[in-house]
Amino acid sequence: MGLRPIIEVKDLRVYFYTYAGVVKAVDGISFEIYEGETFCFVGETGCGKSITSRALTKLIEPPGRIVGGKILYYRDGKPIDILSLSEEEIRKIRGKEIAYIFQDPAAALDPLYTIGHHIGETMIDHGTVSKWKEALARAVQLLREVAIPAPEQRVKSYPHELSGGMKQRAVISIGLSNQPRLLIADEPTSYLDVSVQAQILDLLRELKKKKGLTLLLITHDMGVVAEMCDRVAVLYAGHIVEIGPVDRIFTNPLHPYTQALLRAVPNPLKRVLRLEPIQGTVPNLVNPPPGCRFHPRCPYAKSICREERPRMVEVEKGHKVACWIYAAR
Amino acid sequence: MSARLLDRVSDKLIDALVAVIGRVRPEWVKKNAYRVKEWKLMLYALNRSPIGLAGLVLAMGFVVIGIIGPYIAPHSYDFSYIAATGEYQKYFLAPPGTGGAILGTDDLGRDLLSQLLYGARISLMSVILVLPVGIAIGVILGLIAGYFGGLVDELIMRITDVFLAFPGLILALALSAALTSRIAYVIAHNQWLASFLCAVFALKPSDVLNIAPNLAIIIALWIVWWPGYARLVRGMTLQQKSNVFVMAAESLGMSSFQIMVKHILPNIIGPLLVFMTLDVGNVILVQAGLSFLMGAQIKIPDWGAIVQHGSQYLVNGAWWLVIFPGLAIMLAVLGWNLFGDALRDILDPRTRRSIEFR
Amino acid sequence: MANLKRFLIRRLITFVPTLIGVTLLTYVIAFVIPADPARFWAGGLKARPEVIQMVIHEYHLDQPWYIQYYYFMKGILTNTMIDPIYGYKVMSYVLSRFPITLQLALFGFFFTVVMGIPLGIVSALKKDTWVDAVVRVWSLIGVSIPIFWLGYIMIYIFFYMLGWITIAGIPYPPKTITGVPIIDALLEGDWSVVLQNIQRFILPGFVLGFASIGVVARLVRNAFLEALSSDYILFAKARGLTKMRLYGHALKNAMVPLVTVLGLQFAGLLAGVPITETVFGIPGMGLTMVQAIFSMDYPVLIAGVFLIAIIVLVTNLVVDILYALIDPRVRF
Repeated sequence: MGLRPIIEVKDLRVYFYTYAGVVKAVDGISFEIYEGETFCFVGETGCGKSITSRALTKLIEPPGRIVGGKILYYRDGKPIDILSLSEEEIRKIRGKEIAYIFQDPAAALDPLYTIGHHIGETMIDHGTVSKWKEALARAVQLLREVAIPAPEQRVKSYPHELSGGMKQRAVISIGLSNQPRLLIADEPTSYLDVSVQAQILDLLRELKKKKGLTLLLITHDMGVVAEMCDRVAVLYAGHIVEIGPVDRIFTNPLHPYTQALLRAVPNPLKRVLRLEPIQGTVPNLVNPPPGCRFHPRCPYAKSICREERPRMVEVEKGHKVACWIYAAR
Repeated sequence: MSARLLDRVSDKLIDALVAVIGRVRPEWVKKNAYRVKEWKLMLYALNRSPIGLAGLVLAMGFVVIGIIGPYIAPHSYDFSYIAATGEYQKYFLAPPGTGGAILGTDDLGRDLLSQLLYGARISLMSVILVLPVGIAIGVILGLIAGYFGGLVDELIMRITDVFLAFPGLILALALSAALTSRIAYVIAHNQWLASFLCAVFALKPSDVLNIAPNLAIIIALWIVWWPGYARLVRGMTLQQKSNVFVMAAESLGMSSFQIMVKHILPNIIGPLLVFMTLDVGNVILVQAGLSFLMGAQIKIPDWGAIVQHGSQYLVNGAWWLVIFPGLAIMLAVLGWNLFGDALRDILDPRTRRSIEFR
Repeated sequence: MANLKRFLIRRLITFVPTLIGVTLLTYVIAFVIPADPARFWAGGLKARPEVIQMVIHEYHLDQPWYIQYYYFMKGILTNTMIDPIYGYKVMSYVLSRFPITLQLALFGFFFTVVMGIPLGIVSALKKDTWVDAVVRVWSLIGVSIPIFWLGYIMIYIFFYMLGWITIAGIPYPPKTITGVPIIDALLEGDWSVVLQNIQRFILPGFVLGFASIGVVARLVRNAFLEALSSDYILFAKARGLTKMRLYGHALKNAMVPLVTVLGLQFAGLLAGVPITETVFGIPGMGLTMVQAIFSMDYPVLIAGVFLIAIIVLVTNLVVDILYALIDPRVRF
């Protein structure tokens, strides 16, 4: 695992201008992703993990807008400022160097076109192949790589003819068709049965190893985090509250939210007697709580937590946390 | 920002409404605070749609003029300048502005403005009398067909298909022509009905029999209007039926009637209301079209009949007899269509989401 | 496509009860009429009693309604029924009117498709610009404007003021092949008759299709935009597909509801036919039936309604088939 960064994000802000008010969905997020690793975003629904992942290639649609921050993508060691790229430049990166897999494979596929066509067009539009015949042949190969049986027939199938698991495999093959360097998987298993989930995760792990990918995995499932990830960022209400290597996060969770998360789900690395839900609810992002956004639900909240947003401090090597318990005032 | 100003106005209106409800049913107000907030947000969206607001103004204008029209008209609909003043040359097909006729006169010297104002009442009453009945029949049949399915569904849908395959205008026209004399008979023998119609259409008692053709149109439209709603509601009912809570209600032993009224109906009322609003324009147009085709049979002029009557004199250059009534129809329908459109955008959470607010 | 055959047969079977229902309904309406058709057919108020009796007997008006119904339907469908007022064969007469209405509907449909779809696409691509506003206004005015009003305004401008069009007669080419004047003229290469037909039908066709143009444009715009905002387009964007390809996806998906709507619009055009034919004096089925209603010419009314119902049912069937061809999920 190299220590060269492939993505560097500084103070990213994404706001949504809705009729109910301005939703500050992502409000100052900073992190790095290193080449070859599996990096996880974990958090509850609405914490901003999907939005952040989409912002990486400016995939934010109105009423959302990227209002601040810097996103750097490293190619051959040289940083590229994503936010300053033109439409055409970012189009060339999407699907070729940075690829996505979304939650719902059924929604991601156009019901009127075959799987083969989906794969083919992705390759043709990036110049990976120039003729359709070649594209379809490559498509069959790709389907084989993601372990879809009878790929020569499946290539001519329509999405509705495939099961959920197969659709997601097809989506993965689309994502890999142009040999990307970074694969962003946004809750790839949420819509699948548990048994299929394990298969898909195994597949991702295998492909990552074979092709030397960097994987950004977004999930709300701590079990998936434990199984797949090298480093984890824990998000809450549009902020990153803790970042670190996966084994440190699980054995030494620093932030009260991380600790509460681990207490609320079965922990594969520790023996737990009782599961406890986290008190309270996720805050309204139009009027978020001042200071640290977790303070209304935090058992250790001090007065400063209500006033000022905590800085991110490194408590041990590579393990950072944004909490006034650890940050000196 | 003028939108914010309108927001304050709409907020006050909603608060006033809530106050009234509070006096009658205070528990409702407490339970539905979130819903009231939703209404306020919906009106904010409306305030930001200039087209929707324009539509609202036109639509309300139609309603207001429909109500007060006969009372503010300078003359009665059968008043004739020629008969009153004897000045034939001056008042025969007089262009707008001649003497007292602001909008001109027709071949009998009748004041166009007054005719339009009375016609507004007929248009408005047509809408008020046609829509609720057509919708009621359609909703009932649609709910039954959709909920019970099977043979009942087949039967009701076949009947609906027959009506829908029938060219609607012809059906309505045939019915109108057929029913006119029957209706006149009923009115003549029913004092209560005659008084009711006089009040509703602002007629002179001696004239009440002449409303029969216009009334025939309304009744014909009852028959033509329900199949569309029956089919629509059936579709919506089928969608609702697949929801789990319906199965749950059934397993709890709720009667079919209760399920239909308490569970399915509330869920379809929203889109149904939007449909109704968009349908107001259709009623006005179809009623005008029928009145146009009935032509000479219409004795109490309404907008469609005025156009038909005036079209004969287009060759004489009497453009006002055609332009003004048609314009009235168009503005009324346009208003309701704009308003209905805006309403649909507001009530659909997807389009609501994509409106970027500043 | 074996399923297609079964589907077709099933659908055609349901035609029959619907058609029977339609004619029955017409018959019921004719029955509702209190006036005495026999007297009217015999010549009106001054009709002699013997003539009235003869009419009643000839047309079985003294027998129970189901016998009358059977007699009327048999006569009409076998084209043996003679019109009581004008004396011609009912079905022949109505059928001769049909091509004229068809021509009018074709002109209307032509405008709907040729103006509606491009306007819709342009309005979607140039969303929120003045083009979009114009299309929105057009579609809103289109469904708000009374056809007869639009018709008279157009006549006033293009006939009285400019004299570019004609409002009388139907130009027929010398030889009749299909019965539809303009098609026959085109087939024979008779350009002057083609031009005359255009002069006669272009304005009523435009007026008839005016509302549809707006509806189709609006629908294409919305379907296109909705397709553009769906999840598979987001994924397509995330894959870095070119803009052209994105539009291609959206357009094909937008076509799915379009086919249904075009079918509905065609049926809707038929609804506007009576008024349009009345305003422009076109002797098609619409005008014929309006006149039949007021002259109590029931046989013509029943025959005409029967034909129109067939057209509507067939149109619906065609739409369903086209739908299945476009959307692979709907294959039977």
